[in-house]
Parts: sequence; C-alpha cells; structure tokens
Amino acid sequence: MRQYTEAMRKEAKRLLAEGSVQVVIGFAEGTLPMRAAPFFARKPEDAERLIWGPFCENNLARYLREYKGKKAAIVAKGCDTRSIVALMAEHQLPRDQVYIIGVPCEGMIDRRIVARRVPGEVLAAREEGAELEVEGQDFALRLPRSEVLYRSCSACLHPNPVLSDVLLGEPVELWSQDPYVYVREVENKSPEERAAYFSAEASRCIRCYACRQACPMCYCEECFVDHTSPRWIESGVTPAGLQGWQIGRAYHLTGRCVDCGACERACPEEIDLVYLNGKLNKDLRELYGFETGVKLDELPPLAVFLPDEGPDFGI
Amino acid sequence: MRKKIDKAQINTLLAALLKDYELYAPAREAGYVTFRQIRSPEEIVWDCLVTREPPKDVFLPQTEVLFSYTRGPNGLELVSNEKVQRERLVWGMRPCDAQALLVQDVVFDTSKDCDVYFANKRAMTTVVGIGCNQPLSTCFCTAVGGGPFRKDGFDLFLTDLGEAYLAEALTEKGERLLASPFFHASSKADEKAARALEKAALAHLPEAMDVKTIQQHLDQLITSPFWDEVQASCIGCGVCTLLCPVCHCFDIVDEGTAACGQRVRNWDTCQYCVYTLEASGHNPRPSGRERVRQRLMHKFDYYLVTQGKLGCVGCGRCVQLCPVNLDIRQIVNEIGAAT
Repeated sequence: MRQYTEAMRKEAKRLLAEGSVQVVIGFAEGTLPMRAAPFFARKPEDAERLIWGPFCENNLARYLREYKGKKAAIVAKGCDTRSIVALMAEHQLPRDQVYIIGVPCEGMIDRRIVARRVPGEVLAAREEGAELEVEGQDFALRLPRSEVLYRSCSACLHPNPVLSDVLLGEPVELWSQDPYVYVREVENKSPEERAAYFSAEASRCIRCYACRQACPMCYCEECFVDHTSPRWIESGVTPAGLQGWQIGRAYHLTGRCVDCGACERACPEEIDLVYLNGKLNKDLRELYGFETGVKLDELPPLAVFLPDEGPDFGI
Repeated sequence: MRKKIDKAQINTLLAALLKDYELYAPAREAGYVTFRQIRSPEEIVWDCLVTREPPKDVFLPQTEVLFSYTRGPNGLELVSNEKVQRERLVWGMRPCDAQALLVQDVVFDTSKDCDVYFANKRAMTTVVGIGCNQPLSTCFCTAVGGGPFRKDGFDLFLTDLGEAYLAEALTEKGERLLASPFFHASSKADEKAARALEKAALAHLPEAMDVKTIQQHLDQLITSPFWDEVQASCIGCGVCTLLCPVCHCFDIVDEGTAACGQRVRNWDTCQYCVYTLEASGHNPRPSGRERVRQRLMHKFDYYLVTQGKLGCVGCGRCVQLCPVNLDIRQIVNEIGAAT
C-alpha cells in the first residue's frame, strides 16, 4: 500500500500549487505505532507529510461537511467514496466541490486485534507483503494480514473507489464473498441470545458519541440525543438510556450506512456496532435490492415516498 | 510502616477482604481491562498499567441518582442517595489515577464547599496503589509532576518485587489492612529492590515539562490560529474527557413525572457542542476551535491558577484512545512554537 504515498503527494502538491483546491484531506504519520492521523494539507509543501498505509483507518468523508462552499480534495478508499456518493445523493455535497483522490484499498489493520495477539505493548509495526511485522520490548513476530483486518474490511465488497477524479494505482481484486458474515453470526442466535448480546454490548457504552462523530452520515445539526426539550431518551448510562441511544443511532442510518466500520473503530469500549447497521443494510439489500453509496442518483429507500406504492411499501 | 505479602497469598487476603468491602480492581470486560467492581479475586488482572476506564466512577459515578421522589397519600416523599452502604476498597490504582483523585478532592471537598455524595464515597473508600515497574510508551506522568511510584493519595502502596509485594501503609486505613496476618516482615533488601525498580521505571519516562512557560504561552494564545490547526482533525467526541481520570464536569437533570421521578447527575464534557449552549440559544463556545482550546487551557493553565495543580496526570488514556490520534503531548509541545 505504501507505493501510493508518492503518487498521492505529487497529486496533492499539484492541486495546491495550481490553487484548484484549498485543502487536501489525507493522512499523516501518527504519533503511535499502528496509527495514522487525519491531516489537512493547505500549502504545496504540506503535501510531503501525506502518507498511505494499512493504518489509515478513519473515514475522511466525515470532514467534508466542514468545508462547505470550499473546494476540497480528499484521499478516499472504497468505503470513503461510498460515503461521498451517499452524501451527494442526499444533497449534502455538490459534486464540483470535491476532488476525489481514489485509493484502491487492501483492507485496514485492526490495531486492537494485533494488540491482543502479541505478548506486550506494540512499539513498532510495519506491513511486509501479506504480513504485518510487529515489535515490542521483548518480542518480534509476523502476523498474516488477513487475520488482523477489521471485520468490515474482511467482509468488504467495495475496496476500490466507486467514484474518483484520479485513481492511484490499479484496482485490487475482491477477497470477500459475504459482506454480512458478522451479521449472520448474530442473526443465527436465538431471540433471547440476541437480546442478551445487544444488552451486554450496549451496557458498556459511555455515551461519548465517538461513533456518531466519526460517521460521515451523522450530519444532523442537532442529534436527537442532544435535544433537551423534550428529552427523547433517558440522559444517563442506564439500560434504557444506552439501548435507546444505540437503537436510535442505528435506525437513523438505515440505508445510509456504507459498512465502513468507522463507528466501531472510534468506540473506546469496543462495542459491536457494525452488526447493528449491517443488519439494517442487509435487510434493505434483500427487500429493495438497495446498496448505499454506489449510485449518485439513488436515494435510500426509507427517504423516498412514492404515492402509488401501496401498503406493502414497495417490498 | 512496611511489610511484605507473598503473591501466592494475595488472593486469600482479597477473598477475606471481600467479606468486609465492595472491591474495585482492574478486570477484564469484553476484550480489554477496565476498572470495575469484582466479586472474586480471580477476576483481577494484575499486569494492566492503564485500565480502559479510570477508577473515577467509584467516587463520581457516570450516572448518579442524587435523590428520588414519590407523591403519596402523605405528600411528597424524598429519598436521598447520599450515602453508600458498604465500605469500599479500590485495589491496584496507579499513581497517575491517584494524582487525579487528589485534583478531584480540591474540587468536591474543600473547607468551604463539600459535595456530600463525593465526600461520603471518598470517606468510605480505602485506596490501595501499585507502582508501575514498566511504564508504557504512552505514559508521561513524570512530565506533569507525577511519578511511577508516587505514593500520595494512597492508603496502602504496593511494589511488585516478583514473588511478593512490598506494602507500605501511608494512613490509618492502610495500617488497618497491613494488620492482616497475611503480611509479614520485609527487609532492607526488599526496600533496596523497590528503589531499583523505581529507578529503572523512571528511565522509560520523559522529563518534566516547563509548566510555567507553557502556562505563559497559553495565556497569549486565546485568539491564535493555532487552535484552528489543532481542531482540524478533532471530531468532537467525548473520549478524551470522559475517560480522563481528572475531568469531572457534570450535568444535573430531573427525570420523571409529577407522581415520581429522580434528580440525576451525569458526567458531561466541554467537548460537546451542547455543553455551553445557553437557554437563549447563544453558545459562547460555538465551534471545535473553542472547545479544544478549553480542554488544553483548563488542564495546563486554569487549574494552575485555581488549584495550583495541573489538570493532566499523564496517564495517556486520551493518547491511546483518541479516534483520530490527536496527541495531547504533541499539542503541548507545539504550544511554544505557536506563541
């Protein structure tokens, strides 16, 4: 993946020098092993700080709403471009305001899985072909890349950008056959087990709203959970408050989520968030044949009202 | 007073203490280790330095019912939730988290003002600390005035000597624990070993920050474009503040109906847009710029003025857990250059 870095810097430098964009949103080296940090290049010389690699895990499309009315370039993986398309379909982003530097993605590495697979603190990690080399104080080992990918990346059906102005490198081949493998794991449980699983996951929530803040599609000016008069759900970390938040968040993203996994990566309590949204996405795919963020002119089914669709809602 | 306890004896001691205390310790939760109430000593994870959540919930629960009310035939009945029923024991707190607790003491329990809910839990709790033999790369306690073997804030302090723990009582509560027959005499050699461990740990940690200069720089930065750069990547979530052992802001909410209900206190954070939203609709901190600035200013400037202490203890939780790798160490380092 590192081969994209040079091409990315060159393109960013060109765009900023020409003045055709005011900012290039990408990643810079992180301060910790296995981290990259969202970075905003505003001058041609800033482009030298851009990097690409297996730890560029954030969905940068969430920053585009902060550049309304300005021309921005964005470094985007497959899932990020789907979010951009979904935002455009919802009229949140004019096509001519964003320049997409598309990057074919081989899947991002889950730093939490890596941390659990090694005997101490990870002090350095680098990708070597199909493996990740990990080093700590008293250990050095190699892990197969395929075993340490984020679940949403393992299951991804769109690693290549669905929309771009320039594509860095050749498209990658698909590796996933089933985009909803982690949804099926929960679907296969009994209703009682599912309820227990959901309650246990939600119970760890601390209402930091990192899931919402990391999500490109959570752009409401006022989130239902911040509304105080009337207050829609209990304010505390009670079962009703936490489950109300988790359900409300997931439902508001029905047919709008692109399964990028940004919410789960941001969650400090490692709550299984992707199965909830994945289930809703799977339902919409099965009921309406709809997939979020692949067509610019297609609105999410639940955002469309057709006067003649009848009581079955077009299913 | 110093004594020693063999590691093989520690679970028996804790099992005995569980009869008298509610016990809080680092324990596994899903895929990580956090500070929570435990019911058996086997649940304790001994080698975790920085728990996912700090132990601040023991003294300031994230959601706390202050009192509840019911309207009955005899009028309004109020039930206060001020006092906890059982004595508490926090086992295995790290020195950074104890420094944070000392900051909270100055907020909630002073000679002038006392938050009875906090003060009661504090009085009912015995705090057992443990030194950090191998600090993590994200630890920076020494940069902000702490240390991996700082003992203030603890009732009893443990040093991991390999096969045994050296235990030092620092208060009467600590003496009470040390009176248990599971502890036996320690030697001069044990104390020497403890000092060597401290020296080795310090070698992994950074030098002290020049706090006075940072504060002077911050005072000049209120209107600086520096904050626009810092906030560019911040997504405005509450991870850094809610999981900070020092941060203690709260919001009080009445929930219920005319017939029954409760007054609830929840943690709040200056990083939320609604934190400073006034009833008029005006928001004095309308954007991320003011909110990230507030976090840094409060920790590295205002606390020094109001309490004579920093609002950061260098535990590194915000560094580890920030979804976008905004690193408070880096921000503080850049403050000088931005001035």
